[in-house]
Amino acid sequence: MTFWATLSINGIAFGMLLFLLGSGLSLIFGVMRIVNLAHGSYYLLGAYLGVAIMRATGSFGLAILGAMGSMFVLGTLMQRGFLMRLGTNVLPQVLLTMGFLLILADLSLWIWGGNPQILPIPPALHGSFAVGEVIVPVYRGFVTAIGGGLALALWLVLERTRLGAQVRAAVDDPEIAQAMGINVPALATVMFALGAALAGLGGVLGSPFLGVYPGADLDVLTLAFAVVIIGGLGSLPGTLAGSLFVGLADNLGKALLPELSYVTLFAPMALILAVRPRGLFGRT
Amino acid sequence: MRWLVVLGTILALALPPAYGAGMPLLKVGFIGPLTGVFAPTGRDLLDGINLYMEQTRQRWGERGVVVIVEDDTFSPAVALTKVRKLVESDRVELLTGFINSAAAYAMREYIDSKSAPTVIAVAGGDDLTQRLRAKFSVRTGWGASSQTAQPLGDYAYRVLSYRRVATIADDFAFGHEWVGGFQRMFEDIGGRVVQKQWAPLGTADFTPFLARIPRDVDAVVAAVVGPIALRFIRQYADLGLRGRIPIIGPGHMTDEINLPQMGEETVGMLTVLHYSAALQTPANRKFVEAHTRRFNRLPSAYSEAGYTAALWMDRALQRTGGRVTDKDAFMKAMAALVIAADAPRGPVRLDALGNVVQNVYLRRVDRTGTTLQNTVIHTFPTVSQFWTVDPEVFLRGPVYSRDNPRCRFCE
Repeated sequence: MTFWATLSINGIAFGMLLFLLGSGLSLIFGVMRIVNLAHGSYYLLGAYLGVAIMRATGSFGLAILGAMGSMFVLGTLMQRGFLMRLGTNVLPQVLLTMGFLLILADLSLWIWGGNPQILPIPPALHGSFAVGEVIVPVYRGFVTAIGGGLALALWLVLERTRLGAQVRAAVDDPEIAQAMGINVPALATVMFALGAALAGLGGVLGSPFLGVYPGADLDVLTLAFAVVIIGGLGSLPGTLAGSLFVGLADNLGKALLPELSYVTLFAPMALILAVRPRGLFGRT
Repeated sequence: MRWLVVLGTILALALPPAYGAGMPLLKVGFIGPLTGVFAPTGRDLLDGINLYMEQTRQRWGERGVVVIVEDDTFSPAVALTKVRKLVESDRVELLTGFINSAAAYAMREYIDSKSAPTVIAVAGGDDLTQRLRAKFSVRTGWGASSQTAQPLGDYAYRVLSYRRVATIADDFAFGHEWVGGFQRMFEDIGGRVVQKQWAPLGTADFTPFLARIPRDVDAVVAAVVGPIALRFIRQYADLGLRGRIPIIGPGHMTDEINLPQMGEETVGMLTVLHYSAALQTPANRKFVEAHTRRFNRLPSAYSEAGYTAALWMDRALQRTGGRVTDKDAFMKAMAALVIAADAPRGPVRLDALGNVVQNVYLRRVDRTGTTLQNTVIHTFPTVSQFWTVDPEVFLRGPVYSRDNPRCRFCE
């Protein structure tokens, strides 16, 4: 029982971290039809910046704000300066974001070196508490709470506000939305930057237990893709479902069939792709 | 005419002394990962060699020395290409470096076909100096992967009084061989390994593995190395296991590359390695002091491996009068060396198969002021790759692997 509870709690926490990445990837795809391979870089840079700011100031809050802010700016620059010019040409988009992924990876290797780093968290988030026999690390609870809170906030914004209505309109039919007076290009930039900021937040929140190292960008990108493919690109509830699925499948798969842990993770993804190419919640 | 004399004097003083000697410059080829995830280990290794170069003013055994550096990016295929380039186009006379065991294995045939004397400074694959040894290679650094594990298996049973342990290790050759060596010696005297888990390389979250560890074992034997060890130890503490079940493992987990990033959760951990920057011998104090002054950070076992490999080549060259042309004589000179006091890690020599025989240290992570260090709390003197087993008997068995020894007591 303890075994299952520990794995489930951990799987949910990991899922919520993946949600931060997946939701950004999904939002960006929704409004711009861009598959952004550089999304893993925001995670990597966010994590490195978070570690650097935390070391310099000792403030976890500043680390989060600094990383999110810088990734927001980087996202804006990338979208305005490069991606917007390409329109909806898929191949140039993918190649360009791939290029960014490699450049940013090399840049961070150059700036921060190859040594792995781990973000020191504030003492308040240290340790663990016991629920009966089950040990819950405080920090995992914290990540779950932030991820869950953000999921709720994003849903409220998209479903209950004027901005959200505009985003949905732009996702459904950008040309009509534009004709109705919605500034679609501006909206696309904001969504892109927001997605980047969320991935940066994921980096800061993930680095205390996953660490940050050259290659972390690709590691999380693979999982984020699994999340959005399973859940359906462009769908927020789908991303949430996909995140929880991948988080739990990753944990249970590694515990029960460690030799096949990638199979337990990616076989369902392949199956879903075959049966529902647009994912569980994706619109056809 | 006077100005000519002055100019000549200036030139003679300014040029490296190598050009003054009668023999041509000795070229040494270095192969190691200098980019990618393993770059920190390659950098430390090279720094160790460079430090020795500077201390000897680029002169080994009466000859001026130059090191030609190639990055193998931790890939066996790249390593082989770069070695070919070093031997055939740069005409190096000696090869050194090698961190990736797969790269070192890939090199064996080529090394022997070219009779290129090779000093493996790190790569630990057991069979490199056991069943699949290249005639023209010796291993002066690190030793076989299982070399540190075997004494620990013994010690864990006899001194730490562990009876039942669970193991968890990276699912690749080093993990297999290290755990294999531990298990064999631990079970030979009555201990029981009740669970063996293999985590895929690059595992982000170990919680699924940690959740499966039986809570009634005496210790967790963990061989999770490189940057991954940081996460492993943090996650172990997060799950409340720290303080309940001790971890023991290879010194790679808490090496001087990882240590500055580690915190309270590491304090008290026991690991084994053939080196610690906190080793209190005159040679090591001198080495640590020089390294810290030169590079502004503590040396790791990789730095020490580079330094000692260079020391080894220098001493062998001193014996052959700087000549490598007679390859067999040079290999003999390397094999016969006994370095009693000058290697930072302690007394070293080679066994009949060219693998280093050295002290293995049991180290405990201690806090000293604001930093952590690996305090040596026990020394296993002159440990060979065969530990207490007769080499012939040892070599008749298969190399340690995922399923050798078999897990007889797994529950």
